[in-house]
This record gives sequence, C-alpha cells and structure tokens, in this order.
Amino acid sequence: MHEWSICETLVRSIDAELAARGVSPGRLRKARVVIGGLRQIVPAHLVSAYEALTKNTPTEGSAIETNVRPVRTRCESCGREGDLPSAGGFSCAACGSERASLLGGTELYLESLEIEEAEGECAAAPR
Amino acid sequence: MRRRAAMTSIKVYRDLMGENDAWARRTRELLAERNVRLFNLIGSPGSGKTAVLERMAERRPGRCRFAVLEGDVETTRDAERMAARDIPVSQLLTGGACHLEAKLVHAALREMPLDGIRIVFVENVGNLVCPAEFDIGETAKIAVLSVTEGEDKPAKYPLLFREARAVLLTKTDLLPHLSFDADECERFVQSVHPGMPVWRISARDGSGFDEWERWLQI
Repeated sequence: MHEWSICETLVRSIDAELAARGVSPGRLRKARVVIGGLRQIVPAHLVSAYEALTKNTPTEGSAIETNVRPVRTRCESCGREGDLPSAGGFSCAACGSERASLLGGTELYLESLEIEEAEGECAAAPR
Repeated sequence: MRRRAAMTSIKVYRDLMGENDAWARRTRELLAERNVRLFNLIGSPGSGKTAVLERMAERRPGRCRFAVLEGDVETTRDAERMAARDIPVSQLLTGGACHLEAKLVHAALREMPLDGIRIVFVENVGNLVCPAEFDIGETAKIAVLSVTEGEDKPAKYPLLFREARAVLLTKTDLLPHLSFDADECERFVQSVHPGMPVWRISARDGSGFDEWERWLQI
C-alpha cells in the first residue's frame, strides 16, 4: 500500500535526475532501485505502481528493476558478521548469542538509470 | 541488419526517503527548540491507542502536559475523544493513505500551540506495516499490541518491533478470558529486539500505567 507513495517519490526523483543531466525522458529504458532487506516493500507492487504512474508521461515504457539486499548483522558478543535470516530472530552461528547490531537494512535508493544513447552518438570513439 | 541501440548506465544514488527524512530533521529541530519529545504510537486498528491516551489524561485532570496529533483515514472521532478530556489535539486526515509522513506531521506541529507541553503523542493510522517505514521526526516509535491479537505479532511485523523503543501490551484486564500467553509474547519481542521493554497495561483498570509513565518520564 505504501509502495504507491514511495513510487510517487521515485518517479519525481527519476524526472529530476534526467532533467538535471539534460537527458530526454523518452531515452530512459530502466531505473534500478535498491531496497534494504528490512523494508516491507513488495517489488511487484512497486513495479505496478510505476507502470500506472508513468502511463501517458514521457517515461512511459521504461521499467524499474529492484534489488533487495540481505541485511548484514554483527554479533554483539563475538563480532561475527553474517546475513539476517528472513524469518525468526537472530542467533549467531559462531557463539549462539541472540544480540546483534544491524548493519543497514532500511536503505531505499535510486541506484542508476539506463539510458538509450541518442541518435548519432557512439558508445566509444573510433580509433 | 539493424543495430540495437547502445545503452549508458548513469549512477545516481538518490535516497528515496530523502525528502521525508529532511522533514523529519526539521521536526527534530523544532522539538529541540521547544524542549518537547514526540512519541509515535503504532498499532493495529483497535489495539487501544486512543484509550491509552484517555487513561493518561484521566490520571492527571487539569494538569495534562501532553498534546496529541491524531492520524486517521476518515472522521475526527478520535480527536473528539481527546478534546472531551481537555487534551490539546490536532487531527490529521489522510483521506486514504495508510500511514503518516514527515511533511504532514511537521506542518501540523508548526500549527500546534506547544506552551506548557512536554510530550506530543502521534497516534498513527491503525496499521502495523506502513507507519513503521516512515521517520516522522519522533523521539521514539512505540509499538502498541493488544492481548486480543496473536502472541507472534512481533515475529510477523519485524520492522516495527525492531524500530520501536518500547511495546505497550494493552487490554490486560481481558487476560482471564483469553488463552493469550503474555510471557510467550514477550519472548517473541525479545527474539526480534533483545532488551526492549514491554509494558503490560490496562486502560480500563489503570494497571501498569505507573511503570509505563515512569519509563516515559512524563
């Protein structure tokens, strides 16, 4: 449900980043979004919201690609780092302690934009 | 043969919570200037958030030093309950949004008379999922869970229970009529957030409010 609100911010952010770089919105093919593992964001909902929000706009037809990152943890007893399991609480694989610090997990950012090169441009200069 | 269009990847790294978090920072600045703390009450619809605030006001008639920002999708009914007990209150209506965001909360706080107020409670929209995603500039999120819900809610809603700094386990007066195991619930809380305090309270009979208010330093 809150994916819609987040997607509105995403669309505004994409438009702003394209404008800041003088890139025509029609050249956008893909936007990559990183989602921390603790976020309760359903990628499929974000994709649906993006399609709805970009309909009849210059970025219609572009796609978003989501990358959900596992949450890294550091055991407060022995310092071992690992990934937080998706279900259940933390339990250190090395010492069994149940106390951990979370290293990130709530990040949510627009990582990159994939742009189609304009007519006449070359990806690399010829030798 | 047609050449496929070449692609360029542009690195952006733009925080999608950036705008929200900027408003949350402004709220923290405003609260620091006025020496006011803000607690964000998050719980299911019917978990007893409004009743907790009513009982707190009843315990200090005429000397209520807290104000309330009510967040609801529709109606001003909760704000009316606060006003009936002389609790300074503002109502935020989201008209459909399932959570409050920092910009809306900041705007409402700017309009609130805060003289003599030590704490503002935000009663967030009834929902265990979405409100936990948004920093509204609070001093702490408080998870509100009632004994008529499942003991395993903390495991089912880990983001809220990890973000919160305390849990209010409400409606404890109903325990004799339920098979709810409060100790088991606390174990679920501790497995997700070791060391988090759980205050067992009843707005109906007032039990547990001394300890809860001592922690709150109200």
